[in-house]
Amino acid sequence: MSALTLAIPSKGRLKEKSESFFAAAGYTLVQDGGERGYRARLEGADGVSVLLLPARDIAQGLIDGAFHAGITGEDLLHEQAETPGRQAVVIKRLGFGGADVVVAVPNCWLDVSTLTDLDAAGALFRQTHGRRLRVATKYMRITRRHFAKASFGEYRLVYSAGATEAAPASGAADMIVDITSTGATLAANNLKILDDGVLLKSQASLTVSRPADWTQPARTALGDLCKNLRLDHGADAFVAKL
Amino acid sequence: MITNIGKPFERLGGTLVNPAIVLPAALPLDLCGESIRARLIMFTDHNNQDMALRPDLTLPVALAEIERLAGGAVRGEQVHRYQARAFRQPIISDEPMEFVQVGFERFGAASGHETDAETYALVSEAALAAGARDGVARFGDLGLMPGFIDLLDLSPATKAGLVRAFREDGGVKAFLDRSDSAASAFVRGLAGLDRDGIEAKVAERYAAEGIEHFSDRTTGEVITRLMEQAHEVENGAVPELARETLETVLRLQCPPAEAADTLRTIARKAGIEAGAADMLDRLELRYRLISETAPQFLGNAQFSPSFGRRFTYYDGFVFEIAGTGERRAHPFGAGGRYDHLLRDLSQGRVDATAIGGVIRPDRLALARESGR
Repeated sequence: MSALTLAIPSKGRLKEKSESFFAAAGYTLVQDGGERGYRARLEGADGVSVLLLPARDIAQGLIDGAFHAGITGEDLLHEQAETPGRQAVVIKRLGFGGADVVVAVPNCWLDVSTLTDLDAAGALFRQTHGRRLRVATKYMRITRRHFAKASFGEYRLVYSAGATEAAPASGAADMIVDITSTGATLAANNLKILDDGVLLKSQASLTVSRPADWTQPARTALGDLCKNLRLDHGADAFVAKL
Repeated sequence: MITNIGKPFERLGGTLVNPAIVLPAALPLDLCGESIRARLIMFTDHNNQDMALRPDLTLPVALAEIERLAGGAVRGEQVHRYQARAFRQPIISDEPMEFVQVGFERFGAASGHETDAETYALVSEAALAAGARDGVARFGDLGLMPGFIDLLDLSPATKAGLVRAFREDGGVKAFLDRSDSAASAFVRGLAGLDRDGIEAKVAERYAAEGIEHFSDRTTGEVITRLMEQAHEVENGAVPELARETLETVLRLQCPPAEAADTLRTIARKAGIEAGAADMLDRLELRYRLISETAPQFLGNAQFSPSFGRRFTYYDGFVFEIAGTGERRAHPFGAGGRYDHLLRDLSQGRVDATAIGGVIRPDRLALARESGR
């Protein structure tokens, strides 16, 4: 019976980088049942069991308290939590998997470079077309939260699970909120990012779950792990607040 | 007990209605904006369309009235009363998702201080009859801030921007602060040009950067907005006096009996006293009539011109009656005027004044208990 359960991404670059992050502190990830198993352990960290899961499921598990800690994208934590930072607390941003959640509009909208411009454009659009500007995104909550904070109200959300950048050209939406690392895909689709259009700078983060079952052995195991990962400060602060 | 709450509303006449519970989600979302999405109970129908349970009775009753008027019904006053369930995601966890509203919507009656006061008095009377004792009323008037904005010497685009910003949290301040900052270099280069001149500049820039138009938002709309932006650059920021006037009106919170005089003083300083006279007279007469006819919940009553601005239907007189202490955030009575809603919802096909009032029996019962 392990004291602490840790979830890390099950595939791709996020998985490789997570493995390297632990390897740098002398921990080796060993998967039960080989490459395809979803259970693993960290050799060198007694009492820690590892789950390999999609990053989205890790974010949800951290919010729900299904496991103690995990590595996932901040964009997912912000999108899936009603109040970001309340249930899932980032203790270390890991410097990989970096990307921005941005607002992008057609580059032919020469009058729009800020959200305030967009509000005026949206009001005129509603008068002219009898509907609100449609924003395609998979980040429904981040968008709503940020637009409310920026006093921008002239829009409607349209859920888009993928290829969001194509939505304005296809007519499925008028503009988008999406994640981008270089902006190249946006430019290729004739979209421009607003001057105040960066809603979130996201990267992969080691995150702990507040509602998880924090037994004394779990706290000790997290403390030990973080000491070896040279993250003493973040873990101490978190464990102290439990 | 519930069966009696709506009794005072019967004096307005009209019929008891129970309109559609399920609405296309686009209706409340287009009308109120995305801020209401978190409150809607939504589901996807068999055609993959987003549907919502009615978040209140006002919207479906207004839709029914639009249909009636668009069908060529005789114009004139029409009252719809209801005692029916509405459905909302609670903001706080101890509120129910499903609750009853007892209320009325009144269309086509004269829009003046008498019907404003009568609406409040009916809700106050119903709450009193249902056993509410320790209630406190809050009043607002969502026509005042737009009225003040309109009277100030500002460009039409700035006025329109301020009226929109008024409805958003922190919006007016954000809008005024933005007015101070510089516009884009492209917009500054358009100052002094007429529409044709701006159109030429847009074509020039499209060609230079290889931009092709591909949006439902037309090039004509882009040019119209660029003209407004260039005009704002020429006129400069919102003048200090106008700014101060708007911020003072926005911040004002006072006993309702003092509201009209306080606002008259602000209007006088801004040099717009004559223009503001009618709306401030109405404000004064309305409250005088309310205090004569329904004094029950006025003890610690407050007035604020920004009260109720998040309720997107309303555009004039608004009020709430809530219990004291922890029940303060959960009004058991509410209402307001929405003279523009029918026109907006029907894209101008019909037009009628509208005002309504409602009681939440579940909240009233809780307020009564905690008041004991």
